[in-house]
Amino acid sequence: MNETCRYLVAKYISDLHRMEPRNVGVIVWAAGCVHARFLGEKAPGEVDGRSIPAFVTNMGAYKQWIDFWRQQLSGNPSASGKRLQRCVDALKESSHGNFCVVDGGMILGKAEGYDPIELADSLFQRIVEPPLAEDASDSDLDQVADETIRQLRLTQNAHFHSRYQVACAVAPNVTENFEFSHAYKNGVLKRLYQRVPLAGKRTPLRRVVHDSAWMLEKVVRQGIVAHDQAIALVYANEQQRQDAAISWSFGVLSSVARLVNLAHPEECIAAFALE
Amino acid sequence: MVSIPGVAKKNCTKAPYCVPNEVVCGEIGRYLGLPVPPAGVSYPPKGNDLFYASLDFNLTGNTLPPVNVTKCVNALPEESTGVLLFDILIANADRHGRNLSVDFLPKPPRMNVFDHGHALFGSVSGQGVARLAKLRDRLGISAGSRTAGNRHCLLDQVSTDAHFGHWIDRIRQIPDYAIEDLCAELPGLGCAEAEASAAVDFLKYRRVRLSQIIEDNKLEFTGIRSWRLFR
Repeated sequence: MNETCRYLVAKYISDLHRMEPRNVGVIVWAAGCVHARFLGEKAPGEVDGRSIPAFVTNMGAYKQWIDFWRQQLSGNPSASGKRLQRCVDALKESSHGNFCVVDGGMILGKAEGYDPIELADSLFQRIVEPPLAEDASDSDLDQVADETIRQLRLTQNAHFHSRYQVACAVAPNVTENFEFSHAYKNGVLKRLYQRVPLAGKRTPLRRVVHDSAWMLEKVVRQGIVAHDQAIALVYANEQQRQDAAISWSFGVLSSVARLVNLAHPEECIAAFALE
Repeated sequence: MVSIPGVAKKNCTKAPYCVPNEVVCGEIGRYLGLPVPPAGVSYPPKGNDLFYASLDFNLTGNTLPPVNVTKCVNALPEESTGVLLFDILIANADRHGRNLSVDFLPKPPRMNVFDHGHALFGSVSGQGVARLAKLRDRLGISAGSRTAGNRHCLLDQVSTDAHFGHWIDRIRQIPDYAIEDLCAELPGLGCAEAEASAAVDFLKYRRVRLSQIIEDNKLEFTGIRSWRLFR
């Protein structure tokens, strides 16, 4: 019989009134084996108190639940068919209060084709592990921009601001507070700059570009700055410029603002030069 | 202001004697020194429902997993025996790993005992007196044909009768007035006068007959190989 892979997700609810479950583990059956991973474990069954996520309000209860889930699994190390179903049902029925186990789903394809350890690791990374800190930086962009600001001594200019907040109406009765990388304000706001990291590793490029384009478009549309004073700062060398996604990014950003590619020194100086 | 979490239950179709069962059994359990959380009857300002409201019995602030009964008996042999004999007294055919919790991390571990809504009068409406009569001399926790329910989770785990004498003595010493006063509260909580009287009679009888009932059912205690009390 072709067994399918299935998995359960262990969840923790820190506040039963708010009822906002957080995923803390996965239990995977594949190829006649079961494998589980839980947050805070150094090795199966060995919970490191320092690694238990902060949203878990009681370390002792958390440790005892992991111990319980592992005990349940150890009694059914290679369950399949009805036995597997009984094991799954028992785990789900044990859900109580702050801790629960719910169906995650099935993986299409023959179970024999999957390594349960790899599958559990993959699911764990995908649905349990908190995302790493967003790495939205673009080192080339930041390096050139910072160097130019230093060269032009803009940090000593009282009218040049970094991390500049702008309140902008984006719809009737809706105002957003945008934070721009830099601004030039001499009495009135004259120019806004937004660094757009095209080489960020974790955040999808589309999201990065859309977020920036949204802000730039809104401040221009509201007349907060003129189109050519709303500046999108990017960095892309000639080779990178050939990339379709980068090319698309240039198109989107230049449709809403003045696009400045810091890979070109003359553009860079011109963008930061103040009257 | 301080807010304290609690758990409230009321009589319902599946547990028509929930409140009277909880009131009597919970109070007796605490009287015996078992870790039954403090509770009382709560009357909402509007509506006719009344609730048995217990302080939140989570020992850790978070729910504990279903208790590992083997570990429980090993770690807390005296308390485990107390729960077992208390449940015989009240004919609790619904003791399982989820209405007994143990936090194993502190030294010594801490236990909580709760949920007696299906003991004593049982869970069939109008059959309270009949159940008490039927189980009068029976163990009442073995999930046999008359008792029904589920087999007591500690019945096969307790491996010695070393602590039986201690609890049999305590149970025997429950005074008449305690049982009578408790059961006098029951009419109005979801059971009739006749049922309350039957409960008084049942509890007084089993209180002094407990030792004999256990002896008559020695074989049900499968974990105990040799008895000191009943040779």
